[in-house]
Amino acid sequence: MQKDIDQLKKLRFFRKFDDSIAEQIINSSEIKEFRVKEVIFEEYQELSELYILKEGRVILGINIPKKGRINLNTIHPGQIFSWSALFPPFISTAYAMATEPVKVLAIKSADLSQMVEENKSFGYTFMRVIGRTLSQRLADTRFQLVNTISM
Amino acid sequence: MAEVPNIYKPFPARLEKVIPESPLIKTFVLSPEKEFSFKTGQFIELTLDGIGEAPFTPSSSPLVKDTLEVTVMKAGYVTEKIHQLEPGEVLGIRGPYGRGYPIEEFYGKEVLILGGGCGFAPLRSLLYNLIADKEKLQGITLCYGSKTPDDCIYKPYISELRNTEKVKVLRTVDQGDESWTETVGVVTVLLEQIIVDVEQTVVVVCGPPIMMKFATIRLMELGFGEKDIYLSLEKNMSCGLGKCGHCQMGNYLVCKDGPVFRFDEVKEIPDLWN
Repeated sequence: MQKDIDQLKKLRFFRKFDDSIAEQIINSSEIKEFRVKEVIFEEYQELSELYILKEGRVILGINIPKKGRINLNTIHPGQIFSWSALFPPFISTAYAMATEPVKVLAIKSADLSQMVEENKSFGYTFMRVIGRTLSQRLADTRFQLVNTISM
Repeated sequence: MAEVPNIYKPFPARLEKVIPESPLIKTFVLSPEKEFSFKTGQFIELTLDGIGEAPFTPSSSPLVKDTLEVTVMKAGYVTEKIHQLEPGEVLGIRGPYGRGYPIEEFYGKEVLILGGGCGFAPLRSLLYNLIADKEKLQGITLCYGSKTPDDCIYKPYISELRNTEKVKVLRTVDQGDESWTETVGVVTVLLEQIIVDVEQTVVVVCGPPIMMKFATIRLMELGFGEKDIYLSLEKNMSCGLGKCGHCQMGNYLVCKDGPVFRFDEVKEIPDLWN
């Protein structure tokens, strides 16, 4: 178990959490693998797991009528995706596709929600990490929007 | 009576070669009539007889004195005419003007370079200079963003950089395609992939104003100091001599006091990013 905890804490997302939290997360998670070009989830799909990328590379994108899939953002090891699994209505806002052989840590969002409810200190830190991630994604999306408008 | 030298008079430079970089960007290799020196980050005025002139920052090494490279994006009347030039034709050059990068202040540090679109042009000149001095630096990281893979410029030079010791290169495009295997997203997403000691790093940013604005905000969020962020600003430079006032920005004349500024020098200027 300690080996798993140490591995987990190498991921940037978990650096702020202590070993007991890491252990709980490991108990609520599994490693999933995806092949190149395999769709991990589609846009508007109900999600029940938060993914943390361990290996490989994932692209996030949206489908545009008459244009097809448009890739908008790349996820690198240590970053999270499928955050929609944490907040109602739990519906993905983008599709995710592996562009390299991918390994993710898939954490059951129901278990995470329970941990947040039961351990407020963890909950606060966890939501700060999620908040920072979403805030950066929002800023990047604004940047992308302004870029597109000014083309 | 002694003749008064005309400070606006350009001297001739022969166009030796035209290198297409992207659908809208070309690099022009020039042989100036006389040896030409500039400091990386300084700019020149390029003149086409009967057409007009426009400011450009050389994209070549400041250590090379017999040729000069200028990378030009087709964006208006003068640049469109420059794009139509063929090798053998003669252009005019005057300059160099302004304040370039204070390379000596980078010694002993990591240099993080953020470039967007044609903003890579002055940064390539800077990279040539930094790589020549790389023993005096901790390392160099280039984060470069363009709109699409086709818009990425200096592709052979990027390959060369990737094989250069102490240099790390990350690229991103706003919109990827099937062939693109690097990052997709705006240039600020690349900052998530790098680990640098902000206390020991200087950052150089050059690109479209929108890119420089968002990049500077993100760098501040990451803890970089205002005095460690260098911006290369383009503000409608015209005379290049600080006389016409076209490029006035707050108390500064960009053509004379810039185009390279530290962020702390210009952060209070209301129309900084306009």
